[in-house]
Amino acid sequence: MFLAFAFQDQNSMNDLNDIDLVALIREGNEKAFECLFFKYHVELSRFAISITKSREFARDVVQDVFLKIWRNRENWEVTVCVRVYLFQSVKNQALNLLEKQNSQLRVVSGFRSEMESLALFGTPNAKSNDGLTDVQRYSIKQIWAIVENMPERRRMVFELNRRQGLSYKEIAKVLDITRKTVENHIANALQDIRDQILLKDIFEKN
Amino acid sequence: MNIELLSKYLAEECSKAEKESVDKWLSESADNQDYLKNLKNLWELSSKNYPPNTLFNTEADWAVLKNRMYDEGIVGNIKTTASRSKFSLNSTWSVVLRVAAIFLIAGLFGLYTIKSIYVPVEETDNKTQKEISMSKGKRGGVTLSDGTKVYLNADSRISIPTVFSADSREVYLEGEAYFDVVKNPNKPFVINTNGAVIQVLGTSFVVKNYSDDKTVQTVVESGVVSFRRANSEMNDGIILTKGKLARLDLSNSSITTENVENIDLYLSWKRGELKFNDVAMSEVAKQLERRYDMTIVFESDSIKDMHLTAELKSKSMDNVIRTIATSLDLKYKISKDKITFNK
Repeated sequence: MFLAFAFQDQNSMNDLNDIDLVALIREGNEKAFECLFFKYHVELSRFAISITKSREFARDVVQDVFLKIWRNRENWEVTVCVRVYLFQSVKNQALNLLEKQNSQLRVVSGFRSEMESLALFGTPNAKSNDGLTDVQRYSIKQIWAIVENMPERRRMVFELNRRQGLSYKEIAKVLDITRKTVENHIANALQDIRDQILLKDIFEKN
Repeated sequence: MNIELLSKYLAEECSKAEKESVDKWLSESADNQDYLKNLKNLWELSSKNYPPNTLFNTEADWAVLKNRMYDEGIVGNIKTTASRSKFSLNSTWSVVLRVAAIFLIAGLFGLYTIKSIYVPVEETDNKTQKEISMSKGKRGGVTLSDGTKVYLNADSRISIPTVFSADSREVYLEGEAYFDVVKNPNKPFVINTNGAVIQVLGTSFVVKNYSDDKTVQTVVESGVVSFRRANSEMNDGIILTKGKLARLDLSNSSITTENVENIDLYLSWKRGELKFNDVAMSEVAKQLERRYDMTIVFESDSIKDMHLTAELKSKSMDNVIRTIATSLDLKYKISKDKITFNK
């Protein structure tokens, strides 16, 4: 019976919007805090890994952001939307961490080896219940391989829009750039992808 | 038509006038429509959640975060404040129950498969094994072909088959590693160390068994793990759950278990931090040597029996050594490849 209640409670929390969650978190409601964490954890972690290039660092970054929120929950003021606030915080925390790490050659070589091994083993293929065809999966891999080699900002803007679903306006706020710049980055990214996939097709056909 | 406007069109970020101009351009020719169709295909594919997230485990990360919150003592006054809110259910209950339910399921699978499919360790063919190692001063992670994440501490190596066999996933470990195992009830994950066998389903935990250690130690962060001597029957395995530690003493083959209050003591190395809770300097020295690839020398022999309790979050070796020396009231000297402590 307790279990049923517990799940019910979890569900009713999931229906709350971000503003309600923030209000509850400010009151010290741990359940609301957990809910916020579960809601944004994966997309924030993906964003963090795109900056830090390390799963472990990404994990730390997201945790640190949430820990700070909880520590200062009573005075937590969200002036922009919660989503933007979280992405901003993750960006700042990740850049701070990188700055610290960069002076430490040893640690850098440590996480380089992590990226190398991630590349070595790749991400395993999941069960094919995602409704995608093999050709589509192949194309998606191609797309992200191209994105991986884009200039830092372009890649980040594109990822925030396509993977994390942030609007141009939200991306502009998170990265502290103009909306016009976001438009340019997205356009360039799409151009890159189109050109390179076209190129690949030509090579592979010949 | 410039691609900037077309990408805005696809992103649904166009103004009304912009949208109209794109629509007009589209109606001009079939080529234009094909061009956009091609872009739209790429655009839509790029938003697909593929490959799906296998890098991050929200449950596990939440457990770690919660631990950190408890460590800091910042979850103390929740009950009183929460009961004022409209959600009056005591939050701790639901968490405990949810986690308990997961353990129960994992546990049942675990016992079932552990009994039915265990293949004793045998000699490995070098051509089919791949070894991944971290030298002293380094640490890093690998993702195995099944999605399992292994994070290796300094001076550690893991040997894995190039292809896992059909009915189990066996790896060989020397040193210290953190495992975040992807659940697969049909293929138990087995870690062989010098002296012990640790078998799991889906879980995350740390195994420590350096060749100069006289013990093999496992700490479970989440999930269920079976821990047993290398030459024993599968049924003899001790079942460990979250927050449990098991240690095999290699000198007399005895296994002891204990509850770990602060699990982060055993996980902090992953973040590059060193945490010691009343640890003898002889052991501290071993960890420092691995971490920094330096030799530690005690000029006075009695230093090795001193005990250290410290949380060393700094990534700088100089800071770490200074903090240790200060807290034990020792002098120290750092040279090219040697750190010397004296009284």
